Amino acid sequence: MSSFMRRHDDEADNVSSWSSDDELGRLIRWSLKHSIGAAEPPPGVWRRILDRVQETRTARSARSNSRCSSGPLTSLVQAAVIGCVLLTLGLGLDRDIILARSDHRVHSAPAVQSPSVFEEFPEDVLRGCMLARMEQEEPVRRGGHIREADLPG
Amino acid sequence: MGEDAQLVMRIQGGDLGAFEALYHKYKRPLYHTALAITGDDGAAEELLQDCFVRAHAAMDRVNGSNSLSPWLYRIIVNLSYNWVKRNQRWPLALDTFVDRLIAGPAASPEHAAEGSELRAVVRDAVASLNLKQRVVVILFYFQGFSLNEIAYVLDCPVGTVKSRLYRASQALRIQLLEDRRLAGELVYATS
Repeated sequence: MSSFMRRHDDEADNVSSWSSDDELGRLIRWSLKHSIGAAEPPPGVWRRILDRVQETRTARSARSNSRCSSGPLTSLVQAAVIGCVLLTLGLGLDRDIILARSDHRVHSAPAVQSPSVFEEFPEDVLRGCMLARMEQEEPVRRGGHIREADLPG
Repeated sequence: MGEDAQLVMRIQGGDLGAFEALYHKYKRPLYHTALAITGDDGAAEELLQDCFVRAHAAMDRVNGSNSLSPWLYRIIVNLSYNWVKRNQRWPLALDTFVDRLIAGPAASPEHAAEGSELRAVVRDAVASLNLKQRVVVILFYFQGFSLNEIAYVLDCPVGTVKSRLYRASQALRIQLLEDRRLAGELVYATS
């Protein structure tokens, strides 16, 4: 009875050679057969299976009947809905493409720089103009009241 | 043409009598498999029902040239797997079966007691395996499937079946060696 406990090191090397008829297998089969081998499915099981199968059949045939009777109308409505969706999508897509193109055009347009006014005049003339303007402008006081004593001279 | 092929043709033609014949042919091994995996008789009954309802629904797509057995096992094993995962309560209910069914009337009380104890040890060892290993052990040792058939039933490579079976077998041997109820056998086995 205890021979099943022998080590089977050689089996580990070649699992494919295992047989379910080895000692461990015989022991397991014997044990499980005695435990559950006598168990029978209750007699009412077939009746319930049959009920469920017939229910499914009835539902399936009812579905196919309703599909047949409302077939042309259903397919027409479906076609209309699909057509609308495709049209909407198509229009939306077109608009997106147009917008994307115009965006691209704006972004990719080369920046045109207007020639600077100052580039047209020589540098010494410009400097003279700036000095003249500075002389004309009144000094701006910042940071509050200036006392006379603080003024130079 | 095989018996299963004829039944499939008749079922595909709407013959419920053929479907009943198919049920009676496979009900016991499928029920035992579900019971061995779930350890619950109510669940096994429910899963057997589901198995045949699904089989009937898919019968139009079945090629009748092969035996239906692996395909039906595939359905019942998948259903049992899902049940165990959903309920996570393996396998104490099996005890009730063992108590009810062991110790046949012909056996002497001593022999019956010895047998019942050994069965309990083996049952506990199988119960200690994880679900995947347990299913492989049940299909290989209890139902006598080949490695290729188990690979089909479990929808996994044969190598996976081999490694699960190897690990399960090692775990079972260790478990049986370490079981105190077989202490006397242990001395004999290790000498």
